[in-house]
Amino acid sequence: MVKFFYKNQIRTDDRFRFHRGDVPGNLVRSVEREGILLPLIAVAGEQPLLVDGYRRFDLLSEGDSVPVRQMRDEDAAVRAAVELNMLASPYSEMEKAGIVAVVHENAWMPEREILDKLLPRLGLKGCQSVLENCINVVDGLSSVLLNVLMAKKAPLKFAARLAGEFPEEQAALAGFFSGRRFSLSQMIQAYDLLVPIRKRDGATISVIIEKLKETKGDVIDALQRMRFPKTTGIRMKLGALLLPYREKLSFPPDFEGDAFRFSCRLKSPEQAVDCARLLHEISQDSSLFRFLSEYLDND
Amino acid sequence: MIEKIFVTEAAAKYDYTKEICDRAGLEPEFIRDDTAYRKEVERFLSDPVGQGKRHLLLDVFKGEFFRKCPGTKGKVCCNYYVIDQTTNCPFDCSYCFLQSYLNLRAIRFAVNVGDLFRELEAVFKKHRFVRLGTGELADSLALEPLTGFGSKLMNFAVEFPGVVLELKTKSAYVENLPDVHGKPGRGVIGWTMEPSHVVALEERGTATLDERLEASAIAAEKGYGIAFHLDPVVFFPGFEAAYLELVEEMFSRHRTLDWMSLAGFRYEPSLKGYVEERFPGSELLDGEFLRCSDGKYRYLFPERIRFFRRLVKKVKQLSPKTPVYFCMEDARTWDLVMGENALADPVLEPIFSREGNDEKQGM
Repeated sequence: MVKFFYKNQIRTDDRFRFHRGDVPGNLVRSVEREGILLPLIAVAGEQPLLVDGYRRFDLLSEGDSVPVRQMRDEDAAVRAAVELNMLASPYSEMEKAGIVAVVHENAWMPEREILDKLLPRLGLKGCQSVLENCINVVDGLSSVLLNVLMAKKAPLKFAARLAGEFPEEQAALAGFFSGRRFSLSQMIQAYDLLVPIRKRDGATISVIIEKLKETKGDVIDALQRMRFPKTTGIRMKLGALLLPYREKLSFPPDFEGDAFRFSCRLKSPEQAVDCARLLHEISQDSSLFRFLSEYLDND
Repeated sequence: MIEKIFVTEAAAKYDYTKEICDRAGLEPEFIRDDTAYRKEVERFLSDPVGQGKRHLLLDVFKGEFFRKCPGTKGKVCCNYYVIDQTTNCPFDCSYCFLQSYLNLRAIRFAVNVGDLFRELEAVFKKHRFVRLGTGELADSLALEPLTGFGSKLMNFAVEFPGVVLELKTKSAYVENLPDVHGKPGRGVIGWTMEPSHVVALEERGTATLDERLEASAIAAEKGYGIAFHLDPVVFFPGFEAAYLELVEEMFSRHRTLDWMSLAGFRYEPSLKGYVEERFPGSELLDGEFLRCSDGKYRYLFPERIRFFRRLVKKVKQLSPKTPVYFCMEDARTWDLVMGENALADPVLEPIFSREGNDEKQGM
C-alpha cells in the first residue's frame, strides 16, 4: 500500500543505508525538479521506518511530502527493496555485501534461503564462502576504508582481503588510496605490491607508504621498483645497453629466452647491408657481452 | 585424510565402490551425481578447496581416460601421456594448479576401472612405446591405502612390453605395490622432491623428504625404476644450497634414475588468490616473477638459467646416465642450460621417443 508522508514523519536506521559514496548528479537533479516519483519502501506504522530510498530521502526538504510503499515488516521491506533495486539500478558488490550481512544479522531469512535465493538474486554465487565474505567485509572493514571501497565499487573479493588487515593498516590504506586519488585498478595494483613488500621487509604498510613520500614520479612505478628490485635493475641496464639500437631493432617485451634475441624488418634489399653492419656492431659490443656474462654466466 | 565418501547412483552398483568404502570404514552418502554434490555439499563449505580434499566422490567416468599431456604453449613437450581416472588430491600444496583448475572440489574417483583397462589395452596394443602416468590431475598413490588403484593399474600395465607406467606421488605408500621384477613393461615410481623447508611450508599432508627417499629405496627393491621431479623449484633464501644438497641425497640412494625433471615454479594469474588466501605463511610468491609468452608467471629468466646450470652440472657429475629434462621450459632454456642440440642427446631417448600412431611433432 502506498501512502504519502511528510519527511519528518519517517524514521531512519543506518543499517539500511546500503549506498555509500557520492549521489549521482542525475538523481539530485531529478529530485530537485520532480520530487520523489517512485515510492520509498518502509516498514508500515504511524512513523514508517525507511528501508529503501535513503539517497533520495536525504535530498528532500523537511516539509516535503513523499510516497511511501509500506511493507508489513523489515524482512518484507528488504525483499521488496532488493527486487526493486536489482531491476532499477543494480547494487555494487559492496552494497550487496551490506544487504546480505544485514539480512543475516537480523535473521530475516534462514541461512539456507540466503544461499538459495538472496545471493543468486543479487547476482552472487550462492555459496557459503561468498556469504562469509559478505559478513567479513561488513564486520571487518573500518568505516573509512569501507567508504573508500564503496565509492569505487570495489569487488567483494578485494574488499574481503582488506577486511583481514589490522585496523591501523586499514587506516593507512584508506588514507593512501584516497590521498592519491587512486582508481580501483590502481588500488588493487598497489595493494598487490604492498603486501609482499611488507612481508619481505618486515615493515608495516604505513612505513612503506611513508617511504613512498620521498619518491618522485608515479607511485605505482615506485612500488614496482620496491617489489621487483632485480627485475628493475636488469631492465634498466639492458635498456641502457640497447638504447642505441632501439629504433632499428625490435625487442620482445619479456625476459624469456627470446628477450635476448632481436629482429628487424627489411623494407628494401639495401637495408640488409645496414642491418648486417648493425648486427656486427652488436656482436662486438663488449658492454653487452659483459652484461650477458654477468646474468647468464654465458660463455 | 578422507572424512566423507559420496557415492553417485552410477557408481553404487560397482563392487569396487563397496571395496573402497569398506577399506575406509566410512558409511557412504548416496547422491544422484556430481551436480548434486556441488549443489548439496560443496557450496556449503567455507573453504571448498581445503574441505573438498577430504571428500571422496566415487563416480563413473564415461569419457576417454587416456590422453596426451597438453604441455604448454611454446614450451618443449616431453611426449607424456596421462590417465585421468582420478581428479584432485588429498594433499594440499600451495603451488598446486588444481586449486584454480578444477570445477569440482571433491576428489573424483572413477570406479569403472574395467572400462579404463579396456581402453588402455587397445592403446598398448597399438603403440610399441608409450610413457604414461596418472599424476597429472591427481597424486597417483595418495589414496592407495583406500583404493589400491595404483597396484591394480601397475599389475595390468607392466604386462605390456613397451609400456612405461609412472606413478607420481608425494606419499610413501609403496608397501603394497606389486613386485615388478622380470615384467615385460616398466613400472616407475616418481616423486616430487623438494627441500625439507619447502615440504614443511608448502606441501600440507604429504610425506616428509626422508619418508619419500625411504619409500624410493623400497620401490627400487621391488623392481621399479625411480624418477624424481624437482618440480617446482622454489626460490627462497638459501634455495641453491638446499636443492644441491637434495640432489646429493637423491643420488646417494640411487646411482641412476629412470629420469629426472626440472621446472621452476610458474603460475597462472588465477592461482595467486588461492595462495594468498589459503596459505598465509607461504613463501611461494615472494620471489620476482615475470609474465611469459604462455601467460604464466616465472622467475626471472637469467636467474633460472643460472641455477639450472648449476643443478644440471651437479646431476651430470653424480649420475651421468640419468636423463634430465625440463618440464614446460622453452627450447632456448634447453640450449642455454644443456647446450646446443641437447634434445638429441641419446640419454634422453627414453623421454622423447615417439612411436605408434602419434603425429610427428617438432620440438
